[in-house]
Parts: sequence; C-alpha cells; structure tokens
Amino acid sequence: MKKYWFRHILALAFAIVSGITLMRTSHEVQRTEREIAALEREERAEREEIRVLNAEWAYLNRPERLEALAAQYLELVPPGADQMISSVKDIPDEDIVPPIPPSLPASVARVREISYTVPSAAQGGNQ
Amino acid sequence: MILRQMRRNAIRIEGEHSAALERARGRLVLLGMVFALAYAVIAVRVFDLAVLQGDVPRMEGEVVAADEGLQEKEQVASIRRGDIYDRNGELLATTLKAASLYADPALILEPQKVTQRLARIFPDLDQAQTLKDLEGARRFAWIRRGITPDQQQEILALGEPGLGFEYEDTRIYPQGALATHLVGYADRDGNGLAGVERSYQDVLATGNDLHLTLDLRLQHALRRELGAAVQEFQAIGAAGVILDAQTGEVLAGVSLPDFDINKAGSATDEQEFSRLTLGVYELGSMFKIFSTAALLETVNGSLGQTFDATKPIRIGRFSINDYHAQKRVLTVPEVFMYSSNIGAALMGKTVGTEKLRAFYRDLGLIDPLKFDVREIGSPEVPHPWREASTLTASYGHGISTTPLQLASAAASVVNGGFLVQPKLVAQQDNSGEPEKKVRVISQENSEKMRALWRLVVTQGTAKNADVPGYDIGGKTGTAEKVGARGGYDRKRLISSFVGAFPMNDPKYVVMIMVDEPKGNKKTYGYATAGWVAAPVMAKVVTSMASILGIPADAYDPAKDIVYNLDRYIHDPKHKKGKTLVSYHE
Repeated sequence: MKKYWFRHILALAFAIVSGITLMRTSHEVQRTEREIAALEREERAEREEIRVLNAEWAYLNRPERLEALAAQYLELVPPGADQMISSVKDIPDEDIVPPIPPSLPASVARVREISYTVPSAAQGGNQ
Repeated sequence: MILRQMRRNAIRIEGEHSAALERARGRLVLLGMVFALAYAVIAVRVFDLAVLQGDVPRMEGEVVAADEGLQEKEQVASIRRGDIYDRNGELLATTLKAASLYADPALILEPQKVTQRLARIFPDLDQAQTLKDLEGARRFAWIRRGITPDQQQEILALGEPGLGFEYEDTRIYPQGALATHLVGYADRDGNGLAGVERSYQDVLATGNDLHLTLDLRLQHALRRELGAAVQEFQAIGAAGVILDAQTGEVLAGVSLPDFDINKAGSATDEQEFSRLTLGVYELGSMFKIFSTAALLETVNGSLGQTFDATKPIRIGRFSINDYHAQKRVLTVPEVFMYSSNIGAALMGKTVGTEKLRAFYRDLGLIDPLKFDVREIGSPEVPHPWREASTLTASYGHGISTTPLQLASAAASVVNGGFLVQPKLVAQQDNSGEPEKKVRVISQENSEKMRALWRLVVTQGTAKNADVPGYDIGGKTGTAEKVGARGGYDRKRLISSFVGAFPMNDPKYVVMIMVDEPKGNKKTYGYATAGWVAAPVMAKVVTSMASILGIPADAYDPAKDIVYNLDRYIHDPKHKKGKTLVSYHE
C-alpha cells in the first residue's frame, strides 16, 4: 500500500516537473521568435535606411552639384589638356624655381620690415 | 412467502436507491474535478502570463506580429524593381518606400484650416480641389503621393487625426536630368515607359539590377558642353554621344532639351523626344566618310585618284555645288579635307549605285539600328534609289539617319574596320565566348581613313576641334534642313561633327550635333559645323582627358599620321616645299 502511494506521488511530481519544463520551453520559444521577428524587422528597416542613404549620397554627388561646389569653395580648376602628364618624371625638374614671389605684396613687406628691424635695433643697443 | 417476497422487493428498492445515490455522487465528484482542473489550468496560465512572461510587452508584440505578417504578404506580392547603375556603380535609378498622404474626411473637423496648413507644406497644392475632397462624403482621398520624409515630419507635427500615410514603392532618379533619354522612366505601378526602363522592363520588374555602360562623369561633361553650345548659338536642341571605338559601348549619350525624369509627367513632347536615337536627320558631309571608305574598299580606289571639281554637276533641275569651292582637280584627301560635294558625288559615281548601297547597308546606315532602348528612328533613304540618289547620298543629301547610327558607322570605319554595334547595357553573361567581329573594311583602308580624319582637323574644316597632344581627327557636316515648302532652308542648319582620338588607334569616338544653331559675333555669323560643333569636340576631349586621366602625348610631327598624306595635297596657296606638318605648326 505504501509503495502504491509512493508511485503515485512520483508520477505526479514527474508530471508537474515536465509540465513546468514544457511551459518554460514553449515560453522560451515564443520569446525567441519574438526576438527574431524584432531583429528581422530591424534589419529590414536598416536595409531600407541604407537604400535611402545610398540614393541621397548619389543625389548629393551629382557631377553637376560637385562642379558647382568646387567652383565655389575650391581654388582649383580641372586641369587643361596641356597639364595632363603621364608620370611624375614628366615634370621638368630644372624649371622648378623656389617658390619665392619676385615682389611681396605691400602688407607682407611691411610685416617683414618690422620683424627684421626689431632684432637689429636690439643688436645696435648692445653695441 | 409474501413477506419474504416483500422484503426482497424492499431490498431491491433500497438497493436501487443506493445505486442512484452512488451515481449522483460520482457525477458530482467528476464535475468537481473538472472544475478544479479548469481552475488549475487558469491558475497556471495566470502564473505564466503574470510572472513568466511578465517582462514582455505583450500587446505590442501581438500587434507588431500581425502587422508583420501583412507586410510580408505585401512583399511577396510585389518584388522591388531593380536598380540601375552606371559602369562605375553610380546610382541612376532606385526604388524607395515613400509615404503617400491621404485624408479621411470624416475625421477632419475643420477642412479649411487643414487645407491652409497643407498648402503651407505643399506650396503647389490645388487648394480648391483639396478643400472639396476634405468636405466630401467619401472616407478616403489622396492628398499627395510620394512625399519626402521632411514633409512627412511636418504633417505629423500637425497632429491631425484625419491625415494618414500609406507606404508605396516610388522610383527615384538621383541624377535627375543627366541621362534622361537613355535611362527613361517608369510609372507609379512599375511599368517602364521610356529608355532602358522600358526595354529592360522584364529584367527590372523581376528585381534584377541593371548596369549600364555609361560613365556619369563623361555623361555630365558631354551634357554640359552641348548645353553651352545650345545656349551660345541659340540652337533648338543638340545631341551627342561618346562611344568606345572598339566595343561600341555608349560611355555617354545626350539629347537636348531634356528634363528631370523624377518629374516625367510634366515633360513636354519636345523634351521627351530623343534626338540621339529617335530623330533622323540629314547629317550632310559626314557621309563623305562612308563614300570615301566605299571608294577605297569596294572598288580598290587609291588616295591618289583624282576627281574634277572645276564646275558644278548638273542633274536635271538641280546642281551639286561646293561650299568651299576649289575649282580644280582634287585628290581623295583633298575632296575629304575641303569637303567637296562635287568630288564626293563623283566618288559615289565611281563606286556605283549597287555597291554604295550595299556598303551603306553593311555599315548599318539603311536599316533601323539595333540598340538597348526602343526609341529608335528608322533611317530615310532614297526610294526609289536612282543614279542621282547615289550622287547625293555620297555627300549625305537625301539620306537621313539617327546621330547614334552615324556615330557607330563612323566608328566602324576608323577602329580597324570592325562593325560597331552600340551597347548601353553592360554584358552580364560570362559565357566567355568572344563576340563575333564583323569586318566592314580592311585594316589598311581603316588606317587611310584615320589619316583623312586627322587631315580634316589639322588642315580642313575642323581646326577648331584640335586639342594639342590628343591626336584628334574627325569630319564636319553642315546640312540644311528641309524647309516647310520642300527644298532646303538655308537658315535652318544641322551642324555636326564626328571625331575620334587618338587617331593612330582610336579609343573613343565622339559625335556632336547641334540643331539649328545661329551664328554670332565670335563665329563671324557662321553657324557651320566647323564653328559650332568642332569646338564642342575640343571641350569634350579636354574634359575626357582630365576625367579619364589620359595624358597628352608630346607632339611628334614625324609620327602624325597626317604626314602620310603629304604627297596628295596640292593646294596652290601652299608654298612649294612645305609639308602638311609644317603648316600645322
């Protein structure tokens, strides 16, 4: 008789444990599915966003626009046909002169004068 | 006996009573157990919901999941249209989900106020119509389809419950009007209506991307220079193309006027018309390329052959005259260089009607061009083709082709002699099979033609096309349009130029056509090809050089192929002992 009860309790306990496990598992599955769905949704949104950004990038890089911006902000122009060379070797070395302008603009010249006269005056004082 | 019987009966009755009671009790217990079980299940479920799943925002999850199923269904129903790219992977056309604004008039309490607010967001809104829609009895009215995210944000900020959004696929062309006639456009339902959007509908509609042979940078340079020419000479339009001389890939193709393909609905017929592929024009002297090639190829003509251009040729009522009349006997290079109509007509006569026609057909000048867009014009050739037609067709009168067609034929003549079939869509199949090359003229004759093209730029009508160091060659063509009352209209010209570089082995063929240019002070009133189209060539080549990084070659007169033609040039104005090259310098 005792053994009989023991079996029943064991079976019941087993049923409860497996029931809980099943529930937990099913719950886990549901949560994971929800997570997957959320990630996929996120991915789709990201892809859509990338497409939009690509389109915007292409729009902002229209040659027409870049040309206008370059003309406005850069002190550079496209090279002329006579400026196109095939390699660095084609640059004539001997023709390169040190980049000192032959005559300085008036404002620059005055600044130089001052910066040179001050030390020379100090020197004169010492002597 | 009776008593016994009675007792027995009583016992039976008693027994029946007790059995009924037993059953009733059993049922009650069963019922109770069922209830207990139900309570237990509910308790467990409550525990599950409240404790185990307590952390999940359930309602939201359910709603989103349902919404998701709907979205997936939509996606299966409509595959997103493929994108279009240029040869460097720059985006030409893409499909984005864009919001469209609708209204539920029943939920809008103050239609007038809402209309005013909408008009502030969409300045071009038809206010009267919108107001009518919002006051109407229907429960749905489109306000604006395909709005921008900024506009959507502004509408959300209004907080008007009667306004809602639907998300639809919308075709976006980031480059606007850059390659209008080649890319074409598609309608809201994803049906291509022009350009590759139409001809490659099947490919795009199944979600495949398309890669074109265009180079957007070259496309822009060509469009910019053609646009400048149209403006400078107050032309009604222009067309131009840059071809890879060997493969026939269209690197750039422009027809002006054009329009922003994002706003295809508001384009005029004039803007929609593709001068490059659909328009057929008498392109005049450029046909001397083909009659000269025919002379060299079909009847073994030589460059030293001479043609008497002393006086006009009379055929019936009209006569063939020279624009730059030399009034002497000309060699083949001289005919080409001075663009002598008389000389070309005589060359055509020498070739003969049958051979000239067959040669034109081989070059693809007689049949409609096979190309990757469907907007293709059919050439107009003399019908019936008489002897006189042979003479006029030799210098491009009475025969009309599309500019693209002529550029391809011209490329075939100078690329070494292989037929050029223009392509707009990059080959996707990697079958590894080399394309079959069809020879139209011999390598030797092709080299002679190159020298002749170069001659036109160094000595002839196209000096303005020259860019030192790039070895440009070409041929001009100035044709009068057919006037309203038949005959030719001397005021309405088509000025064109087809050129190639570098001339000793052409890589690029460029065709420029300006429709009805008017001369100005800078050109001394001239609107001929040498003044209008040739300078465009020089500008386009300059831009190509910097875009593609083509270095200029140091000019070596001894290597200029034009030098080979020296002995054929007998200009009385030229002093004896001077060579072509020394004149060029």
